[in-house]
Amino acid sequence: MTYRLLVIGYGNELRHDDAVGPLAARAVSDWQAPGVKALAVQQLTPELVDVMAHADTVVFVDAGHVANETVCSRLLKPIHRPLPLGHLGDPCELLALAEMIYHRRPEAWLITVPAPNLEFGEGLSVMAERGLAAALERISFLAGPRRVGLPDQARPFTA
Amino acid sequence: MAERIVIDPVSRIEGHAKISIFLDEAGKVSDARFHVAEFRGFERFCVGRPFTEMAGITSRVCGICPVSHLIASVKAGDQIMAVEIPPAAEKLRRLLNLAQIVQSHALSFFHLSSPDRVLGFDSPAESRHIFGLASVNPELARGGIRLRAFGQKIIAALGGQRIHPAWTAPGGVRSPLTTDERDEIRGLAPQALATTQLALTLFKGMLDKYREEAATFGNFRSLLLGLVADEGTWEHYGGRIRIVDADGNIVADRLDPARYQDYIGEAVENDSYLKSPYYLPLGYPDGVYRVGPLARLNICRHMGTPLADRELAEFRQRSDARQSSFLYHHARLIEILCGVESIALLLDDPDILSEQHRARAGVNRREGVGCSEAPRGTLFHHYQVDQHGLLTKVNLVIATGQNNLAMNRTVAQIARHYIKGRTIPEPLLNRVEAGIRAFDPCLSCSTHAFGAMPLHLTLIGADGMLLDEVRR
Repeated sequence: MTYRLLVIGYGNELRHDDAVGPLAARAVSDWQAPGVKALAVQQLTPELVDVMAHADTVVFVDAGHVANETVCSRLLKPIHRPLPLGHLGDPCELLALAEMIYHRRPEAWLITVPAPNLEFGEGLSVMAERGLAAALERISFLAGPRRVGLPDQARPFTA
Repeated sequence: MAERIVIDPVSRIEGHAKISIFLDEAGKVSDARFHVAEFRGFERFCVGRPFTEMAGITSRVCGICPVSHLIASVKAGDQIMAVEIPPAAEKLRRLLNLAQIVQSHALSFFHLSSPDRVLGFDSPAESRHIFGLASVNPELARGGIRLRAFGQKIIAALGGQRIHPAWTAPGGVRSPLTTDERDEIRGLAPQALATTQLALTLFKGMLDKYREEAATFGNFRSLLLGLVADEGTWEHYGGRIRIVDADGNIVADRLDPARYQDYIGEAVENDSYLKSPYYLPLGYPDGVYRVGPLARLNICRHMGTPLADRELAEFRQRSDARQSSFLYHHARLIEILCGVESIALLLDDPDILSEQHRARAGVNRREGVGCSEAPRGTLFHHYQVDQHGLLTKVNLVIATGQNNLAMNRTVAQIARHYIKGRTIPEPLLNRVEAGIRAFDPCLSCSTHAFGAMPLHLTLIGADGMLLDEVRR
C-alpha cells in the first residue's frame, strides 16, 4: 500500500509535553483521510523505513526546544550516520536508510512543537496545546486538496 | 609489569559496558572482565509496590525486551494469586513471547552483528554498521527490517503498542486477538519465513570464512541451561529447567523453576553491577553456564516444527555446536525460524480469539516465581508479598547476568588469541566487541546513547599509571 502522506509522531506519552508527537499522530488518524496514514510511536526505529518507503511525503512531529515559543517546520535531507542501537534514531537517518535499502526518498518534514514541561505525568502545557493545534494546521496544509487531492471535509483545520 | 587493557564503551550492544583485559608480568592475558557500569535498582525500588503493578514496572527494565519481563512478571503474579490461567491466555502469551523472540533476534542478527560478518571484522569501524550493511547487502538489511516489523506487528496487535505493551496481567491477558489482526499477521508470515530461510542460507555459507572466529569466540566447555517442554521439546514459556554439559549429557533435569535458588547461586563482584549467577553444585566460578539460543538448541531434543528441526539436525552436525559462542548467531536464526513457524500454528488455533482469557483472584500465596525464556536466555522474577499484595522482596535473575561468566571467558579467549605482545592490535578491539555481541547482552537499554559510540581503550600498569590510550 502506498500513502500520499505519512505522519509519524514520536515521544514519551508519560512525559507531559513529550506526548505532543503521538497526540498529533492520533489526531491525524482520526481524520480518516484517504491516502493518509499516521503512526504514534515512542521512538524512531529502523522498521519505520518500511512504511516510509511507501509514502510520497513523510511528516515527523516531535517535542522540542522552547526558545522562540513557535512551532517550527523544516524540510529534511537524508544523513548517513549509523543508528546507534538499532532502536532509536533521527528522522534524517531513517530517510537515509529508506533511500539506501528501498531506493525511495520521500519528501520529509520535521515539525517541532515547543515543549516546556517534560516532567513525568500526562497532559500538555498551554504552550504545547497551542503548538499541537498549529502543528495540525501545518499537517492539514500538507494533506490539503491541492497537494494530495483530499476532500475539504477531510481537513479539520484550514491552512 | 602486569597491565590492564580497558575497552570502554563496548558499542552495538544494548546498554553500556566496558571491558578490562589483564596482562600478567610476561605480557600474556591472565584474565578478562566485562563490567556493567550502570545501576538500575529495580529490585530495590519495586519493594512496597503492589505485585499487580510489576508487569508494567518491570517491562520498563528494557525497551528491547519488555515482553520478556511482562511474561515472567505475570507468571509470578499467577503464582501469588494461585490461579491456573485459561488456555486462551497461555496461547496468547506464547504468541506474544514468540513475537518478541523473533523481533529481538532479528535486531541482534541483522542490525547489530551482521555488519561484522558481512563487511568483515577488519573493515573500518566507521562503516561497520547498518548503513554499511545496507550499501553492500540491501536485501539483508531489508530482511532484518521485515522480520522486526513482523514481530512488532504482533506485539502491537496484542499489546496495543510495540514498546512497553501493558497487555498481560496476573491471571491471563486483557484481550484476545481480533480476526482482522489475526488475518493481517497471517498474511505476513510467509514473507517472514522466506526472509529467515534466506538469512540462514547466507549465514551457513559464511561459516567457513569465519573458522578462526568460531574457534576463538568463546569456544569452551561449559554447562548449558534453559527450559524444555515435557518431551524435551524446545520451550520458551513453560516447561522445566534442564542443564546439559559440553558433551550433551543431562546434568540435571525437570528442575522446578520456582526452586531456582536450590541450583543457581548469585555471586556479586565489586567492579560490576551485573550479577554472576552460577550452577550451585559446582560453586563459583566453576559453575559457569550459558543461557540463550545456543543453550536452548543444545538442551532440547527437537524444536517441534518441521523447518527448524531440519536446521537443528544440520546445526548439530557441527563439532563445536555445544561450545562455540560464535554459533549463538546461527542458533538465533534457527529460533527465528521456529518462532515464525510456531506463530503460524498458533494463528490457526481458534482459542486465540476466545473471550475466556483471564482468571481473577486476590493474594492466595505470599511468594511467586515466574520463569520464561527471554530472547537472551532464561529469566526469573521472584516476588514475596505481604497479605495486601505489597512486595516485600524482589529478585530478578536476568539472562545477560547468567551469561556474565561466559562472556568473561569469551573475552579472555579472544584476547589470548590476538594479543601477542604489549601492543593492542586493531583486530583485537573488533573481535572482543563482536565476541560480546554474540551473546547479544542487554544491559538495560532504557539508558540510551546517541550517535556512534566511540571505542576507548586504555592500557594501565599494575601501579595504576596510564601507559597507553586509544580512541576511535
